[in-house]
Amino acid sequence: MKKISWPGCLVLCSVLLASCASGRSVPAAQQGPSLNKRALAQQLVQRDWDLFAGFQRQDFSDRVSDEFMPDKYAFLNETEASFHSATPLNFSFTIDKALMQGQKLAVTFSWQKKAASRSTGSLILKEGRCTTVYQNQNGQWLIYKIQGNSIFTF
Amino acid sequence: MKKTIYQLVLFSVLCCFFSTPYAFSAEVYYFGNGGGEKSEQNKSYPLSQRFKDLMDLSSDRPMSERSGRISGSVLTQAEYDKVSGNKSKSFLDKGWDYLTEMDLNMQEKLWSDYNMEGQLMMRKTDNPRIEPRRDVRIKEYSLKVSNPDNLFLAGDFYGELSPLTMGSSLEGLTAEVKPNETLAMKYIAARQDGPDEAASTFQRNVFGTKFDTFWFKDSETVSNSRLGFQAVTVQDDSSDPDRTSSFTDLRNSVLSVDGDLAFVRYFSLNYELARSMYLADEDSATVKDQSYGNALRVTPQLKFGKTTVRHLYGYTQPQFYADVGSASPDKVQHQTTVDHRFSKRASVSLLHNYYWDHLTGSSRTKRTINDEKSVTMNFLPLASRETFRVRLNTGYNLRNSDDVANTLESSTFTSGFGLYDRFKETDVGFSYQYRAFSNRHDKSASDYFNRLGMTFAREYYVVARRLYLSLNPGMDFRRIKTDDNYDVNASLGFSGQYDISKNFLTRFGHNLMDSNNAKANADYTNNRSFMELDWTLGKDRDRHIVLRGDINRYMHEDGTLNYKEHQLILKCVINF
Repeated sequence: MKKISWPGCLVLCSVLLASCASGRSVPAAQQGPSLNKRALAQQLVQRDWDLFAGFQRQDFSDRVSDEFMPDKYAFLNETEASFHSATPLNFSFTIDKALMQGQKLAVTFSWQKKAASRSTGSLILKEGRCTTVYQNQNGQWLIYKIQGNSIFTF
Repeated sequence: MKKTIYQLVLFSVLCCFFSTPYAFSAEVYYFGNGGGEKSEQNKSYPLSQRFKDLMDLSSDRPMSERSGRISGSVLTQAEYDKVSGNKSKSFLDKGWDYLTEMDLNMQEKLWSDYNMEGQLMMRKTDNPRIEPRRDVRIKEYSLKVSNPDNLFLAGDFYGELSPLTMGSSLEGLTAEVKPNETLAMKYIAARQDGPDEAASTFQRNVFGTKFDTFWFKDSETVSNSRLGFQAVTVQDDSSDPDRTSSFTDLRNSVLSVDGDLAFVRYFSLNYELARSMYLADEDSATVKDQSYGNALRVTPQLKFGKTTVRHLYGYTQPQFYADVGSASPDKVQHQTTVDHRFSKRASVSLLHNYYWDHLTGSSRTKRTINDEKSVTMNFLPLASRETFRVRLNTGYNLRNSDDVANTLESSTFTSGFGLYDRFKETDVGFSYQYRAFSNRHDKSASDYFNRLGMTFAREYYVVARRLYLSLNPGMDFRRIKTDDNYDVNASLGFSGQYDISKNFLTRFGHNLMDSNNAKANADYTNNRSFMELDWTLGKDRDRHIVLRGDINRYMHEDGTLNYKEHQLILKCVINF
């Protein structure tokens, strides 16, 4: 019969017994809300593009936070000028990251888009990588910041 | 004998350790992690229970009834693309592409009121539009240990200290600690998030720290008072990829003081003052190549009755640079917004945004002054019809310069209205927008737009199943200054969803854009159609099979630019 290492067994038993021992009897920790960040990110990016494709300044402005950095109205003016220079036609994207921190959601995605020049009708093909940061204000996710290659400029 | 004594001592030590599972700290902190949430203590779970809860993937037991959980999803997708015509106008290539993604989440209750969350997202694809590399890529990962007051995270996160110093996606370590109700600290040591493929840059390391102090906690007149100090350093790691590379080696530091002051009634203030040091390329640096700059942002707000007045003053020197912050260098800005609600039926918003550049030390040769004013009004004009809404807007943006050679001089006038209502369960909308852009330097770049748009959306029940339809026709008429003829664009968007059964639905849509251009040889038509079938399987509705077909056709008056794309996608998603 193989020799049994009794101290080793004692260690193992102590671990098992200690793990069964109850500590302080307290209520269970509050469960945090579950949120499918990537599905939310997908919806927000698609929503923004759809709003841009049928651009109405006030409708688009409603989706941009008043605290947009660095300047909300300069961003709206650039987006409006961009829309009026070329007609958005196609857009596809893939979410790489959706990072939630407090009331902010940073979505990093790579994208491809096509637009038709309003002057010549010829296609403009562009692709890039963008991080759009959304801020939760009163239950609505509004655009707070855009870094990288913006999908709203041609 | 010696060995036995050693083993007995080890046994005793282990007993002491495991018999006090909360021996991490004698003190218990009850603080909020920025939210003032109440701290709840976790139960003690045996190891076997923890293992059993983690491996229990199919149970619907909520987190309150278990010690931990593994959840996630697996996606597999096959896509067939076919392109004909001018293939240079398409991103697609003919053939099959495959995609597999796995998203894993783990939650575990730890000691005291600490919880652990781990997340891992991996992808493998041969689609070059999604990934340039074909091996398994880790797209996102993080491991977080937190309670309502403190947070320790390793992996991917959004790092934010203050608007001028840091707000960026990072990969590394961060800690947020709130030792008491009047002090909060944040620490960051990470690298800047970038694409998987290195592109002519070094790895950019980011270090930051923040201290917030809270004052007048029990005051009856002050609802919020915070003073914050933050420091950020961004430094390229020139030891990668190789010493012979010609990449620039950036160094950037920003210090700032910021704060909030809000009284219970009427007045609140938000401010930040920052100073930066910037060196574009450390390897070729001389002392004089370092630039120092200041930035200031102050936002007072006054609320009285039904009126809110908010002013933003921004001053950013040309030399100010924040690589992971947000600032427009070389700018002085005054922005005032006034919102007034006359009644629950009428409100108005006024905006004046005035800013200019070409400050001392600017690299610009001419100053440009932007002066923008706008008014927006919202009405519910009929008391008998609460669903009828009217929106009016007018804006004027003048871009001026005291230098006649400044090619940026222009003016933009916009005006329009929108009408929205609901008739017999149909949402309808009509909008009109006029825009006149006048380029003072190059009149041929001036253009004038008239845009009309309509929306119809309604839910029906066909064979006792829900059918949702949406129709969006639109037209815009564009004219340029040097041509009296109009470009006419007509668009029609149509989409819908039909719930064939509880577990089977279909989505479909079509989008037409038809452009008749005043210029010769510039007309085009673009048609996009799609149809999607979505099956939900499984007793817990945790599996999806989606089959989608897309057809895109672009036809230009110059026939050589035409192309047609066909896409067929089969996607399977399993959630667990």
